[in-house]
Amino acid sequence: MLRIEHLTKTYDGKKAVDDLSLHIAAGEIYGFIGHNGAGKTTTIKCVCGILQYDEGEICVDGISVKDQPIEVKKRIAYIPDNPDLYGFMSGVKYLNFVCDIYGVPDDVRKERIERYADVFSLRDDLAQPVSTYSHGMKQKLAVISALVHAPKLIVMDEPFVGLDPTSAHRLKEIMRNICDEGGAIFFSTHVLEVAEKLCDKVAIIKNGKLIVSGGMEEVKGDTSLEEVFLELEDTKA
Amino acid sequence: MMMRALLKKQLAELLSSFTARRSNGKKRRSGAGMIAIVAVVFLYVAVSFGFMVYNMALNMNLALAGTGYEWLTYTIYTGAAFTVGLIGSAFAAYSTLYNAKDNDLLLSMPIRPMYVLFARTFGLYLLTAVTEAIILVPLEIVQVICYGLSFGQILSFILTLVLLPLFTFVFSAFLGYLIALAAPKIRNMSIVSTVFLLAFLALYYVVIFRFENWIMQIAANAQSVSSAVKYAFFPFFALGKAWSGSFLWFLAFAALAVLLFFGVYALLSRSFIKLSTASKKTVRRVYTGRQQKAISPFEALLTKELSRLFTSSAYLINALGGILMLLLATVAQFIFRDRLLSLVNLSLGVYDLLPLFLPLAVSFIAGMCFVTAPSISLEGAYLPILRSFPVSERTILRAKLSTHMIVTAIPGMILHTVLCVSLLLGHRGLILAILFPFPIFWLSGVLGLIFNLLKPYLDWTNEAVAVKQSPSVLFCMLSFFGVIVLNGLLALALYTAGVAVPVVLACLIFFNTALALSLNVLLEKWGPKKFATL
Repeated sequence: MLRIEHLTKTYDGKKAVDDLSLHIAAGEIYGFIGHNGAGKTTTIKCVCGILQYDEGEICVDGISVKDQPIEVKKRIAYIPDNPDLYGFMSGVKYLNFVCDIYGVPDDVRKERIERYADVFSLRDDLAQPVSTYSHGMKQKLAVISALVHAPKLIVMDEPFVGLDPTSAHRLKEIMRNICDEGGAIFFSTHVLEVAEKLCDKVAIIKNGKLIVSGGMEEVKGDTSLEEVFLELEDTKA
Repeated sequence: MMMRALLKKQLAELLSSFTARRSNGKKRRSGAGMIAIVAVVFLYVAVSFGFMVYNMALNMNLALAGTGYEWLTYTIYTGAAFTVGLIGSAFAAYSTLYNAKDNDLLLSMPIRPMYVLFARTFGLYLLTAVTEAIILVPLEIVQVICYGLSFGQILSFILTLVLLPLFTFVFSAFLGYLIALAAPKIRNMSIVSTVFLLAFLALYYVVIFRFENWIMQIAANAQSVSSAVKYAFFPFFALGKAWSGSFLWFLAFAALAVLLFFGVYALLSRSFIKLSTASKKTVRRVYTGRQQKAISPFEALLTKELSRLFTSSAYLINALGGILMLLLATVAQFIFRDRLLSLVNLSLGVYDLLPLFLPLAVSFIAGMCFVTAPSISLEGAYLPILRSFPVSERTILRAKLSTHMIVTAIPGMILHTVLCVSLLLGHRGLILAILFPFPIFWLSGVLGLIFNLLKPYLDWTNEAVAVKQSPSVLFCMLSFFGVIVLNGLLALALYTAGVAVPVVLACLIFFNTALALSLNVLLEKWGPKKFATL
């Protein structure tokens, strides 16, 4: 579903991502872990076609992000680390706007909007302007906007930040359902317990370089993901 | 130490709107070059405006010479500086003091709210001081030329430069305070503030258009005017008297300004936290589940642009100020049609040239519609989301340009047609005169996008700064006026060479269309690539 090959992204001479390769298959929840400034958000933004990269190749469903960005973007949904959504729209207008952008037909959009709004307890606030939403409500809206167009791949940057425990739990269930139905999820997180329980595979990045990746059991072995992460942070450059 | 840090932050914020910003994580470019360019442009505007003030003040001095009321010039022009400063800062006061994005952050820090307020006040004071200096400096030059130089006058001038903005600030801050008090209770704040600002602008234009006439009346009735201003406009009367050598009057003004400043500052300090963190009253809207009809991605982007425009008063005023002026002109033309035509015909003797002057004047007004110039900057923090959508950069830019054409060109062309038919019926070249502004509207939209792509200001903390003070808006305005001046010069050259007015119009339409088309082609080819790198 997602192939990142030798990705390199440089900012003013400094490599934010350095020769990173990852393969995410359909049906997988892939966790992306690293310290602050490790290159997670840069990688995610490159995958979503928001940032242009210097070297390497990123393909979604076999389509190159560099060559056919629009086709790739049609297949993915992006949830940013900071849900800066259009404050001048109401929640429902924003969701309809996203549906229009992704070409969601009339006959399914209302059902999807209402279904996910109910899942995340946002239906009563859908008519309110986004500018009046709390951080958590904006995060819920960002999640719903990612789900309404039924993408094949969802790329999420810290998706659980700001969500209440119920919503976080429901999001985890939805993530699993999407993957069971053949989709894939690539997300960054600092909550290692969540990653450990939820992810099929995990990658740890440090200073832009991939230091370990693979199946969760393979990476953590008999210890916890936290212990592995801390150990790798200390030892490998 | 703390205050120093706050003032540095405020100044940095003020200056950052003039430096280039790339949101792709690269370092900010040095702003020194940009600030130098903006300083040159500002100097140009200040000198142009200052020259107008210089001439008017000189005329007034000539009219008042030997009457014993020479000080009235100083009184009138300090009053004018106050009015211009107040109009410039009244609405900025509300957004700067109470609406800044970082108010919550600063209030969470161990800083006394009155210090936060003071830092914000300082930025506003500087803005007012610079605005008023554009009138006060040429005024002083005229006074020195007419009455010579003395130590008392220089001192009076310097203190006026410092204290008049303080006096103005008192009123603008109080207005900002009143707006902040009312804001949480007003449902559609953008429309209400637009109406207020337009009323201010109307007042401003009334003053500008009638100023020359008033000066003559003041000169003719200096005695009665002087006794009237003594009581009704005491602060400016005091400044006039201070200029004429009575330093005690200046002390009276200074005491009044300082006293009022501390009074208003105390009032604002007491309510700052409450007002800057007040949540807006919103009528709870119930989700009805109404099915929304699917539209194309382009239409969705267009709707988004229109929604943004009509929910932001600062943006709305900058975008539609020119169209509203055109609307006023069209209405006024029906009321004062005979007077206007006789003025054009008899006084200026240029009735035959009206088909040329009218479209040029309307085109000049079209340049006051800044829809596209701040539109990319306004994406700000929304940019990553927008760029993650499966729409091409070209579609995004086209939606922005189309918004400009819908809200400015369509009403603008309708109003212009009404004006043309009403004033030019029977003239040869009526159709060409009607068509003339269309490529100009197009050009202003394209120029706005090009300059905003070149100079985006994405990390604003105050939307009004992105809309009003960013370099893309400034450069767009100046380059557009350059095009209009070029049109005027071309028209003059062709007409004096004996070319008939309709042919002149046709030549200019061809020139403007070619220019707009060329820049549009550039925008279509280069724009998307540039947008992708922001």
